[in-house]
Amino acid sequence: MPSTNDAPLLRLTGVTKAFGSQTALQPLDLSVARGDFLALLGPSGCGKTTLLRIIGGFLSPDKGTVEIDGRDITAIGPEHRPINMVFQGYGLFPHMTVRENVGYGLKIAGHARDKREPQVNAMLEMMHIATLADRLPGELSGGQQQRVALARALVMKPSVLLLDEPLAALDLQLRKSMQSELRNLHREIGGTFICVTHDQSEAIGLANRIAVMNAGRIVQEGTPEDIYKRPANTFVAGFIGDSNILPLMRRSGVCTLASNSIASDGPDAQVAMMVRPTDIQLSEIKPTADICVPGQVADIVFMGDHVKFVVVIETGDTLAVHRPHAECDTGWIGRGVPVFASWSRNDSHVLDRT
Amino acid sequence: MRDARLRAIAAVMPSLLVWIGFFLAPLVYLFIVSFWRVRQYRLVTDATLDNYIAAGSEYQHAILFTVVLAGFVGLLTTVLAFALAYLIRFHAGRFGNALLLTVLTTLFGGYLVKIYAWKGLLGSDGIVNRALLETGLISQPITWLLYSPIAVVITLVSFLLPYAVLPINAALRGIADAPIEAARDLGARPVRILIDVILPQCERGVLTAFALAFFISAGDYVTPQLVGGPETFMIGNFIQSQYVNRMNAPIGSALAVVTMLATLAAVALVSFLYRRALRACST
Repeated sequence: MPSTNDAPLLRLTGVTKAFGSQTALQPLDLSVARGDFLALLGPSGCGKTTLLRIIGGFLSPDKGTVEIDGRDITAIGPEHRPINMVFQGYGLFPHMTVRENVGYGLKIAGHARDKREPQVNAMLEMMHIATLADRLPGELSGGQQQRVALARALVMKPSVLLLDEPLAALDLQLRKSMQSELRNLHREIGGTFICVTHDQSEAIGLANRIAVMNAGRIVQEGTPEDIYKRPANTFVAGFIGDSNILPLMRRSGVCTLASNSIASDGPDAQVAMMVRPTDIQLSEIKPTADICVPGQVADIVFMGDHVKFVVVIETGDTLAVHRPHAECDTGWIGRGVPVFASWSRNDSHVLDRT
Repeated sequence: MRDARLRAIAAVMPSLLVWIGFFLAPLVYLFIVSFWRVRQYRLVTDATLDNYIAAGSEYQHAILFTVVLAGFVGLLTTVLAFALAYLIRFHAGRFGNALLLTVLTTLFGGYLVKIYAWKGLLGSDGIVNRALLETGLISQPITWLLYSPIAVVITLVSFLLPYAVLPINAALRGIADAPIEAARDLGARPVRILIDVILPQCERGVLTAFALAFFISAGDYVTPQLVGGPETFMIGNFIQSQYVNRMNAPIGSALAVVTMLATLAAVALVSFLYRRALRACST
C-alpha cells in the first residue's frame, strides 16, 4: 500500500489489554508520524511498557489493531516486524563480543560476513564504540553497553525504534550526556523513535511529542511545550514540571480564590487552579495583578540556581514559589513575613480534577 | 589483612582435612597399590606395570562398553533433563515450581527401590508386558526389556534425571529474559535462540549434568547386577570382583585408575565438542 508522508507511520486503533482481571490498557488510539520522537510518559503501572511491548510485538492486544505504513501487523511477531527495540537493562548477549552483538540481526537476516562487516563497522564508528569491538558486554560500562544496544538495534535500519527506559540505568551525569546524544542521533538518522520513561525531565529533554499516560489511558498528547504550558488536567499538571494545584469550586462560570473571582467556562464542579512556581511574584505591598492572595512565608530554601519560598496563603493552601537569588537579597523578605503572592491569569489554568 | 587470610584458611580447614583424609589419600593409595602385586593372597610392594597391561588387554572391552553405555546414559539423561528444565523455565509459567518439586520428590525413593520398581515394570510378567499382551499389541512377552543393557539404561536414566535437572535448571534461571527477547526482536526463531543465546549461556549447567550422570553410571555395579542380566557386565562389576572374590587389589586398582582416566577424558571430549558444535551451528 503506498503511503504519503502525511499518513502516520504507526497507527494504533482501539487497542486494549488486560492481564487476568487487571486492566493494563483501556481502549486507546495512538498515531506516530514519520520522524517523530515520541515519549510515553507516566508513573509505573500506567500501561506505558505494555503499550511499547504491544508495538514491538511481544504482547498481542486483546482488541484493536496495530498498523505500520498502512499495513496491519497486529498478528505478526517481533521477529517479522520492521521495528527494533532497545531493552531496559539492554539485553546484550553476554557471551558475544560487541561486534557479534551488533552483527547478530544481520547474520540472522542471512547477510554474508563480507556484506555485513562494513555495516557493522560503520555503526560501531557512529556510536563511538569501534575500539571496544572485541570486548564482551561484561567488560563495558553502563554507558558503553547502552551504545552497543543502540547500535545493535539501529544497524537493522528499523522503521520504528523502541526504547524501554533507555537512560534509567545510568548515573545522573551520564544520563544528561546520553540524553543529548540520543537527540542528536535521532536528528542525524531521521528515524522514528518511541521511548518509554517515568522521568518527565527526560521526556521533555528527548522527545518532540509526549503522550502522558495514567491508569491505562493516554491522558494528553502534544509537544512538550503544549503539555507544560497547557496541561489537560491536574494529573498532567502535577506530573510535568513543578506546579501548585489549588482546589476550587466553580459556580455559574466563576471560581473564587480568596477575594479573587476568576471566570471559567464549564459546569459547576470541583476544579483546580494550576500555576507554576516560577510564575508567582511575591511583594510586600498589595500589587495590581490579575490574581493576588495574601499569605505568610513559612520557609525559604536555597536551591542552587534559585530560591524556593514556601508560602501559606489565606485559604490555607501552600504555594511553592521559585524566585531568583537577587530578590531574596533585597532584605524585606524573611521567614514569618506577611506577603502578597500574585500571578497573571494567563499563567494559570483552571483544570478538571482527576 | 593477614588476619582475614588466616580466618579464611581456618574456615576451609575442616572440609579440606575431610577431603584430604577421605578422598585424596585413598586415591593416592589406590594409585600406589595399582603398581603392586599379590602373592599368596598377600599384597607385595612392587613397581610393576603388569596390572595395567592386564587392564589394557583383558578388560579393554569392559572398559569400552562401560564408557559407551555410561556416555549414552549421560547423553539421554542430559537431553531429557534439559527438556524438562526448559519447560519449567520458559513454558510452565507459574506451574514451573510445582513441576520442579514433583521432579525432586522422586528423590525420596531410594536407589534400590527404583531398581526393584523397574524390575517389576520391565519383567516378562511385568506391567509393561502385561499391558501390551492385554491390548493385543504383542502375543509373546518381550524378553529383552529386563536383564539387558536396555534395562540398565532405563533404570539409570530414571534414577539420574532429577539430579541432572538441578544444575540445568539453575543455569536456565540465570539467563535473563531481555537477551532472549532481543534475539527474537532481531529476527531469530526459537531454534536459533536456543542455539545462539540459551545453550552457550548454560554450558556449565549442561556439562555438569552430563558429568554427574556419566560418572555415576560409569562407576555403578549394582544396577547391572540386578537388572543387567548375565551378559551385561560393566567395569564396576569386574573391579568389585577383583577386590571381593579374587582378593586382587592391585588389578582392581589398576582397573579403577584406567576407568577414571577414560571417563575424565570422555567428559573433556564432550565439553570440547559442546563448544565446537555450538560454534559450528552459529555460523
